[in-house]
Amino acid sequence: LSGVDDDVTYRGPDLPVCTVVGSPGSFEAFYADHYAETVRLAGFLSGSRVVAEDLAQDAFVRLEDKFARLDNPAGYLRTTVVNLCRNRRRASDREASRLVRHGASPSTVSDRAAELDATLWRLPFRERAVVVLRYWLGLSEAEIAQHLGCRPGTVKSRHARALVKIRKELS
Amino acid sequence: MTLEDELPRLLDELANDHAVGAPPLLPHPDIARATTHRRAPARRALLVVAVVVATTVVGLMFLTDWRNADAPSGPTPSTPTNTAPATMPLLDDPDVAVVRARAVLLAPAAGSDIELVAVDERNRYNGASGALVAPDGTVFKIVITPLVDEWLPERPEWTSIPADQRDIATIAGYEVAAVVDASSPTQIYRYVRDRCWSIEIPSAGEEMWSEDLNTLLDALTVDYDVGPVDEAAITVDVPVGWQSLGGGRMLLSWNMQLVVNVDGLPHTVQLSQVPNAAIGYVVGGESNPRPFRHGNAQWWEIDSVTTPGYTTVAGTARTTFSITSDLSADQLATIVDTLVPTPVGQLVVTPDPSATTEIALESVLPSSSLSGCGNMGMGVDLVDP
Repeated sequence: LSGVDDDVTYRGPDLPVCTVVGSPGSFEAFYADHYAETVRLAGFLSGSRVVAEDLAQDAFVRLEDKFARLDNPAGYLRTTVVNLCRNRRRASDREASRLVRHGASPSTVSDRAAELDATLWRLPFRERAVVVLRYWLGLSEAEIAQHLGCRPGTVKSRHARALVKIRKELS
Repeated sequence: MTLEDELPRLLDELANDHAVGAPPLLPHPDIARATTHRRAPARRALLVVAVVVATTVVGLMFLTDWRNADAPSGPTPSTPTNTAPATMPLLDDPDVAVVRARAVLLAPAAGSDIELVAVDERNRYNGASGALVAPDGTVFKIVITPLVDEWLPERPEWTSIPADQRDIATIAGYEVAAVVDASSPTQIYRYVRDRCWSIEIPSAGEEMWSEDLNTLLDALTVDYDVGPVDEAAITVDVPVGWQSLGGGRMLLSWNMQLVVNVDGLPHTVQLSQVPNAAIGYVVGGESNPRPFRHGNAQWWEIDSVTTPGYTTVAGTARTTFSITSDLSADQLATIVDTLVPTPVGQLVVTPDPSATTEIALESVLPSSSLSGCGNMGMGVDLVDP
C-alpha cells in the first residue's frame, strides 16, 4: 500500500475501495479528485461502462510514477485515457460488428440524451473524442489536438464532421 | 437553442447517469511495473519479427516495380513484358478473397473481335492512394505506403541525382524532397518526411515548388495508429476551389492486355481495372488529365509525353479503369463501350506466346511495423469542405 498513508480511510475489509483524501497536491488527492471524471471520460470514449473503471485505473497507475514531475498531470491523464481507449477499441475492432455495448445503457436520461449517446457510439473514435473533449470537458482545439496527437486544423475538421452527423441524427 | 449549446447539457446528463463508486486502491506501482516488464520481451520479439518481415516484403515489392503498376498513364510497350511471378506468399487477408470473389471486370464479349491475351492480378493492400485537382487543373496524386527506408535525401542515392533535379524545402511544417522523374521529366515526385509513412506526391507539368503544393500540404494531416475502417493515416481537407477525385486503400487491381484490330492493324491495349475504387486511384501521370464527357460520365484523357501518340483514358464504367494504347481517346472510349461486365472467374484468356498470364501477387503489408505507427486505416481520406 505504498503511497497510501493515514489519509486513507477504508470502507471495510472486504471491499477493495477506499476513500482517498491525501494531502493537498499529493497524488492521492489528485486521484480522489479526478477519479469519477476519468472513469466517465473512459466510458464515453470506450463505449463501455464495464471497462471504463479498468481503463481509468490503468491510466492512474501510469501517471503515478510521473506525477511529481508533471506540470499538467490532468492533461497527461486525459491523453493516457484517450490512448488507452483507442488501443482497446482497435483491439476489439475485428469483433465490433458482433458486439453490443457492454454495461448498463443510459436509463434515466432524456430521450434526447439517449439519442446522443447512440449517435456518439456510431462516430469514428476521433470524432467522438473531439465532441466529448470539446463539449463535456470544455477543452480548446489546441488542447484537444495535443490529446489526440494531431494538428488543430484536424480537430477543427473532425469537429465539423461530427457536428454534421450529430445534427442529422438528432433531428 | 443550437446544437453546440445543447451538447454540454446532454453530455453532462449522460455523464451523471454513469454512476461511479469511490476510487479503489491502485496497484502498487512496483507491481504494475513488474507486469509491464514481463510482457516486454515478447513485445520486442514480435517487433523484431515484424520488422524483418516488413523489410523483406517491401524489398520484394520494390523489385516488382510497384510504383509503375499504379501509374497507368505511362506509355505502353508495344510488345508485352512478362510480369514477375509471385515470390512472396500472399498474407492471409480475408478481404482479398472477398474482393476477388465479387469482382466483375470489363472484358471482351464472347464472339468479339477484341482478344484478351493476358491478365494479371495485383494486390495493393500495402498502400493507399488518392488524387486532387488544383484550380489550374494540375492533378496532385498522393500515394502512401508503410515506411521501410530513410527519407530519400538521407539515402545514398540522393547525391546521385543531378543537383538541378532535386531539392529540399520545408512547406507547411513538413520537410519535403522534390525530384524530377528521370524517365519522364514532366513528372515531379515529392517525398514528405514522416516517421511512419512513405508519402509520395507526384504531379505533372508543375514546378518543383508551387503555391498549389503549399496549399495542399497545408491541408494535409498525418495520423498514426488510426482505426482500420473509419479513419485514415492521411487526411486532406480539400481546399476551396479544389476538386477531390477520391482516394482510399489500394485494393486488388487487374491489368489486362487486349489486342484490338483498328483499320486492319492490330493494336496492343493495356487495360487496368480496380473495382469500386475512386477515380483518384487511376488518374495521374506524365501530363495533367483533361476531363471530358462520355455519356453521362466524366472521364479523363491523359497524353503520354515520353511516348508521343500514346494516350490513356481513365474513368468509371462499372469498374474504375484506365486504358492505354497508341489510339485516340475516342477510339479508346469506344473500346471500353464494347466491353461487357464479366466475373473474374469467367474471364476467357486467349494466350499470346509473348504475353503472360501469371498472377502477380504483390506483397501485403497493411500496417507499419514501426513503433507507434500502427494501421493506416483507409489510407487517404479526402474530406470535402
